Amino acid sequence: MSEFLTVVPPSVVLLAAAFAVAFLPRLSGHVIGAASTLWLLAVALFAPEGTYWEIEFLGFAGAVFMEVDSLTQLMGIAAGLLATAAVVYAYSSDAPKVMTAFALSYVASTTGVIFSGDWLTLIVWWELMAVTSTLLVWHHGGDAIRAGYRYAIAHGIGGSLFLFAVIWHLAAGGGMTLAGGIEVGTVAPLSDLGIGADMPAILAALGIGVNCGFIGLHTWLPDTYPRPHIAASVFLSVFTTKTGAYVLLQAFPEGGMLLAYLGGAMAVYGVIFALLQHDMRALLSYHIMAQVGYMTAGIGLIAASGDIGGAGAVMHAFNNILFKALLFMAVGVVIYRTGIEDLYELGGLWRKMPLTAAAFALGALAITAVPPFNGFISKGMILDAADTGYFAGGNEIVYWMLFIGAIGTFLSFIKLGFYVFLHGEYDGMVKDATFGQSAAMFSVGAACLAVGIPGIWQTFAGYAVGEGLATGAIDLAVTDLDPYSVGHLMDAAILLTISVISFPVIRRLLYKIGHVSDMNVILNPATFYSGKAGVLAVTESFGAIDRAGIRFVRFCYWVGSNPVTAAQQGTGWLPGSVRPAFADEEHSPDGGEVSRLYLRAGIGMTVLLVGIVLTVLLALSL
Amino acid sequence: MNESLLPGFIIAIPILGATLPLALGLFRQQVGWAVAAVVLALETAIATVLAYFIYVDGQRVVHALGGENYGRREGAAGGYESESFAVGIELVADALSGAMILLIATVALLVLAFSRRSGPRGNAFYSGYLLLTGGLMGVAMTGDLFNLFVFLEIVGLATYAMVASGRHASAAVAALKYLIIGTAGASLYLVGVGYLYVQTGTLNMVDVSNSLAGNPEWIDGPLYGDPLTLGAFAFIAVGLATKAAIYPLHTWQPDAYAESPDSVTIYISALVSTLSAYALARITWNVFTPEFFAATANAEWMLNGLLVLAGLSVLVGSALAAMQRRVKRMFAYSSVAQFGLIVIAIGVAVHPEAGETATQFAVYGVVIHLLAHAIIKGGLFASAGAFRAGNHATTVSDYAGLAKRRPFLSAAVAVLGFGIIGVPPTVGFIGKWYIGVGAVQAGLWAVVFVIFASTLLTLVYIARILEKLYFDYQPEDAPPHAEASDAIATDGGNADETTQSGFLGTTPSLSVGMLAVVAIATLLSVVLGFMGSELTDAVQPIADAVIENSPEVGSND
Amino acid sequence: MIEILTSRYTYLLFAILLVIGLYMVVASSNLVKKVIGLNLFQTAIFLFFVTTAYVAESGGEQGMASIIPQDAQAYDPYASPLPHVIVLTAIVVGVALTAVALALIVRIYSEYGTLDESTLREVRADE
Repeated sequence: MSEFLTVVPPSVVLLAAAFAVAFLPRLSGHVIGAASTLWLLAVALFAPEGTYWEIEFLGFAGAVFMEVDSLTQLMGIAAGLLATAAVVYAYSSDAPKVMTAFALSYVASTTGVIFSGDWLTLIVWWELMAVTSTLLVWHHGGDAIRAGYRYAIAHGIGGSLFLFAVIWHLAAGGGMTLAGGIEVGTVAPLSDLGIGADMPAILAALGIGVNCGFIGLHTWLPDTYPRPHIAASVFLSVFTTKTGAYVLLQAFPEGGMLLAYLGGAMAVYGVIFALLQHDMRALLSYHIMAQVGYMTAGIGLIAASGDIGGAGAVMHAFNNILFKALLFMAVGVVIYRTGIEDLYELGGLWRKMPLTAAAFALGALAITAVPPFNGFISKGMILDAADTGYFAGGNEIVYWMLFIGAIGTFLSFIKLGFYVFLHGEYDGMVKDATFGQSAAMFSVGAACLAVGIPGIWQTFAGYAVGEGLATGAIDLAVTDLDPYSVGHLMDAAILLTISVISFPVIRRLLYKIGHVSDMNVILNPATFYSGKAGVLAVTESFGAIDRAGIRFVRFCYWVGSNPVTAAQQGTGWLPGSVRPAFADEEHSPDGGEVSRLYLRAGIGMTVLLVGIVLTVLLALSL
Repeated sequence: MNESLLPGFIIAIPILGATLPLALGLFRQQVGWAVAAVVLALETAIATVLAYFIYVDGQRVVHALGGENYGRREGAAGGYESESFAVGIELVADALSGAMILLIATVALLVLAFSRRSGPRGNAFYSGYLLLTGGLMGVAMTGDLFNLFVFLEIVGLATYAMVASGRHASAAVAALKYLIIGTAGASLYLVGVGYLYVQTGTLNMVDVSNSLAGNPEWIDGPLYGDPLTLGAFAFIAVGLATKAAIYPLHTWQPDAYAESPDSVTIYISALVSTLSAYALARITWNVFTPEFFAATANAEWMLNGLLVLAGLSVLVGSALAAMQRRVKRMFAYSSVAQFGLIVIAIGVAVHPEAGETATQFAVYGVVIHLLAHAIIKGGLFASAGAFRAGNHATTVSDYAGLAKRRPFLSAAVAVLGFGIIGVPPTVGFIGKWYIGVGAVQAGLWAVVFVIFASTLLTLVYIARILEKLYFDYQPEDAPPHAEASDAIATDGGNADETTQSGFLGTTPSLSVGMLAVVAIATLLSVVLGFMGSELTDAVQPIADAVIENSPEVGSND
Repeated sequence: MIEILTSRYTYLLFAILLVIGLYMVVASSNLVKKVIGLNLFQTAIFLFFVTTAYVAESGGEQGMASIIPQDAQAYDPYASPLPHVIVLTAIVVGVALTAVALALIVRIYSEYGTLDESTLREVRADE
């Protein structure tokens, strides 16, 4: 019965739907779009596990276009569920249909990544994901274009690194299939290549790290996500980073303590910067980084505590897709109705927008891991992996970093909710969310709640610990998990108490920092942290790399758009006899560009060059 | 019918056909297009049949010009009982040249559709057009080194004339530059051929290769280390690199591409440098063979020198492309970069460091990227031509916001642009992929770096143009006369003769033919992207031949 | 060394002519002179081919023109005819090239009124 679900890979269905959306009328297009995402959901839920569409691809046998195992099912369910809600949300938020088409193609490429059964297919979809998401950003125009350009460059570099890693991995004789990850230390021919044996792994970590928002590679995240259309932000917030975490797990199925520490640092770093934001979507973007930090820590902790870390990471990715999208939806509605992005300019909206406030509350409770919401289950699993008490292994340092991250999460969502919905009064007329928006938000909110409820969460955790994961280190069963134990509930209560007590204390401070410093200070970790102690030196160097990177991209872009002026300025310092004629040309009075750039070599010069090249080659031959 | 006649026909028909527009022009005007269409349709049919024999039957079709007394015969040479050298000129259709003739026939037919409206008109143009097609076919088919020179010069002569057919005199300057530099390059090639002739006593590629390997009994061992052989490679490589526009020998190319009429630009960008690169590949792989480069350190240095040039070509070409304001020049410099990639792969395939799989992948990369570049770059120039015809847009800033008015063309530019960057699932990705994998397999890390850098550099200039098209709506950039007058242009007439004399002569309006060319190129670039395994199957015999150091690209049965 | 110079001086001439031709193309800014240089360059190559065909001495006999009578011995020292044929073809190609080049130059001159490359560049820069 369910075999027909695997006749066509779901990504192909989604791509076709994306085309349909672009050309059909708005309503019917969105209906088809939603149908295609429901198809994805159906495939994820009901398709039998196994491998389909095994083909030879680009000269390598054993490419698997579609593979269904428990992990892909879990990720597929989240993607299908959320994408459906997001299409509804986009429709009722006046998103242009072309934007939805781009968004669906983006979902399609994400699905492609999730369902690929080998590295080659995966990297192809991975690169497509970068392209389609860039289009989605760009489509909004205005500010989003420059941000999209930086986004494209960041993901171009990340994609190239990962592609490089995959090629290297394959060239070195690593397996096509995802099983075993990019684990090349054991592959014999690699030592013949002359460069360190772990090179592909490092490249892969960096490449995937761009998508995951590793510290130092994260700048595109808060830069890009606050800028596009509110519905585009919902799509963006969900897929790139969480797929990154999923692929990270595939690449490093045995984890590594380096990743665990990095994840912990990301959680801390993310929440601190989130606390300092006053653009609502920027705040949420830093939280993406923090949450992916949890997943990264979980993946890394596989090395210490076994499968519980990986299972927690996947489960958290699943949950995060739901609640992070819900938060972006709720904040999007606020922006949609008020046009204001700064949370300090808002307040008291719960009276005007009770539905939105309720939806936001659902999301906030989920992300802060309050029982019985879904975040409680998965964040608990990762904390368990880090805790030295629950399972064998664990790591104190990572545990405390994650703990601080959890407090920070509480604080920043109390801050967001407080300033947007509770604090003060909002004067002026504001309508609440539209019907479609509400439907989308509450269906996702309901899912957030349901996945945490005893009796239901076991089903989903079952996927997370299924044979898709199995690294063989520890046999993990759902019954080993007990999120509603006294200890776990106590932890949650402690966290909540600390946060509620400390918020009034630091509220003034945050308000001050948020207002005194402009965005630049906040975006420049180096400046901000310059007075702090030695640990933060690392952050500083990351920040420097960051700024250099952004500056370089800006510079490239400037050269690209002002080539003539660039060439003029670049050659101005040359001595007069060598300097090309254009270097002396005056700027036109209106500050425009130099009239003409004469870089062309004449006939004689070229023939001379031909002679010189010939001479060089002849010299080499003798 | 005897298929061995086909390689002869495929060259003779367009060259003979080239006389018709001029001859018939004595009686009727404007007959050129129709004649060219008929001849090229016939040509395409022959190419298809020949490709069937090559790829489906797996044959190597050889035709010896001059009848039964010529060709390869058993006989006695001096005191040696041996198969003698081939007498006369051989035309060879194998897996390598088969791909080229299909490409030439298709592109020639498509560009003809484009030129119906855009011109240049006039019977002389179509004579040159057919002559050029015949010359290109000759370059692809010939199995004789000197004959290759002759066909290169026929191609060159026809191209110079075609470039100069632009209305503006700057086209003549560009053509003269091309002529002098191109002739210098071809002459250097001829010197190299002369050296090989002195060395081996034959001009037939297979025989030269066998002699260099020392196979005939009267030669004592391989001639690979001989300075004459080494010098011959240097001359030939530089000559053909000039023709293929490798930095820093490329300077003729942007001028020629930018100044010639749009239809000519499409044609020469898709084919002329492609066939020069093909000739370089053919000679490097099948005449000199990997053993030549492995035999002496000097040969390896030369090869590395060539790789350095090609790498520079990629980097500098892309950088220059990003600096251009005129779209056609931008695409022209992009070709410099792409041919750098192709020459890199040609070199990697025969590099002593390369193992069997590296060679195999590099060979795949060369052939597929040659096809990919021809299709994609032809499509991009066709789009540029269509934009000029429809919206008078020639510079990047002219393109601002045109996506609204030309959604179809803009989408085509986007798809083709992604193709040239190498984004899957376009054919551009497959070519670049194999070149990259080949270089990785060979362990040439500097080369690998260049290939990856090229992707990012390409992204820079393609993103610039796409951003202008889609996300820039500056009203002052839209010239007031840019309102397209393509609605129902009076057909085929001489309306354009009387009106505008724009930057490049007449500015005709957009036609269905132009759009069709763009659409077909776009479709091909994507469809071929899904046919990776079919393409590599077709190319496999070439890879086998290179791996086995064989001068004959055999059959795949 | 002297021996090579006396017996193989034609090869030396080939090299000298080649370089003179190239130098003309590079150094002269006059377009017509560039074309003349190109011709010289090609002529040098033709002479090289002709030189390779010549058989100075073989079996005590000088090489003869390759007009072969019916009763000829198989291996008389004839000058090789093939390079001559090749050069003939190459000359034809060269003539055609020169013709096209001159036609282009005529057109450039009628348009810009100059044959000097550097002047031409200045004129065109004003366009």
